[in-house]
Amino acid sequence: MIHVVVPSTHSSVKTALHPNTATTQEKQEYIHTPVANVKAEGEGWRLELAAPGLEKSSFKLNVEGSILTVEAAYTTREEEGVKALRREFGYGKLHRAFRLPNNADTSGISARYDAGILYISVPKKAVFRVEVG
Amino acid sequence: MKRITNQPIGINRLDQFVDDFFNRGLNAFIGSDHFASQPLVNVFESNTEYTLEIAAPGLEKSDFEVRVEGDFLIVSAQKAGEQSEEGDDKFLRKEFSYSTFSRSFRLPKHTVLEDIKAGYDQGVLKLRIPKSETQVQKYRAIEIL
Repeated sequence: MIHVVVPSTHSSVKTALHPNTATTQEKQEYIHTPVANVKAEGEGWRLELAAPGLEKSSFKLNVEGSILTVEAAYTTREEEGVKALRREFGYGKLHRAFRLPNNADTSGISARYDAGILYISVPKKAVFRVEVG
Repeated sequence: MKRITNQPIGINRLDQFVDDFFNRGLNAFIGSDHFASQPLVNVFESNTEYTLEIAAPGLEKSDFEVRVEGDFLIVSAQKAGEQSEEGDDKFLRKEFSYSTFSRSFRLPKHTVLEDIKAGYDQGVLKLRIPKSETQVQKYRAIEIL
């Protein structure tokens, strides 16, 4: 189970940098926007975030008002005598923010990490109907 | 869907970096700029081996097929029981699907095919390709008489 913090201290939303030419140290600073799917699921929605090669403890989820923010950081360790010929993923940070629909129940958000995907369930607020007699 | 507001640009700045939960705009019909279906790859080299990391989240170990054809290492995946467009109407935003892909890599000459090891963990397929100690002469130069 991934801990969801509601609400949080404000964290600034940063722009994504483009990883072109960079030293390893600079690469730690890169912020990537992970791709996401959103699906209708039961009485709510399921958000899937592609974030391969992490641990569930690397994720930080925050809800502030109607904005859901997901952050995670890779720990790139340099091994002696190993050189990277190509590096397309698994370094720097992931950051993405979503505006949730008005009828989302932010207190009921839960998340799990499986096979490189972070699944976030967002339930709908319960609707209270008044019978018109 | 882009929300149109009458606020001056300065006030609405932050919104540019916040995505709406739903993406039922035009690109649902004409395709999105950032739809990902080809996995990203890392390649490392040490004195003894090459390591290939392929980011293909959301699959099972048994969904992968890894084979060598000539000089090429071909990695493909087909998610079991997944009809490609199954339940597509339930998607309110769709930016990735790694359920079917194929990617090939040209192998360096001095590798031991028999000892290639593969493992799938946290959405990453990791292949270890050992280098051969003696440079096997796979190719023969043909002399022109």
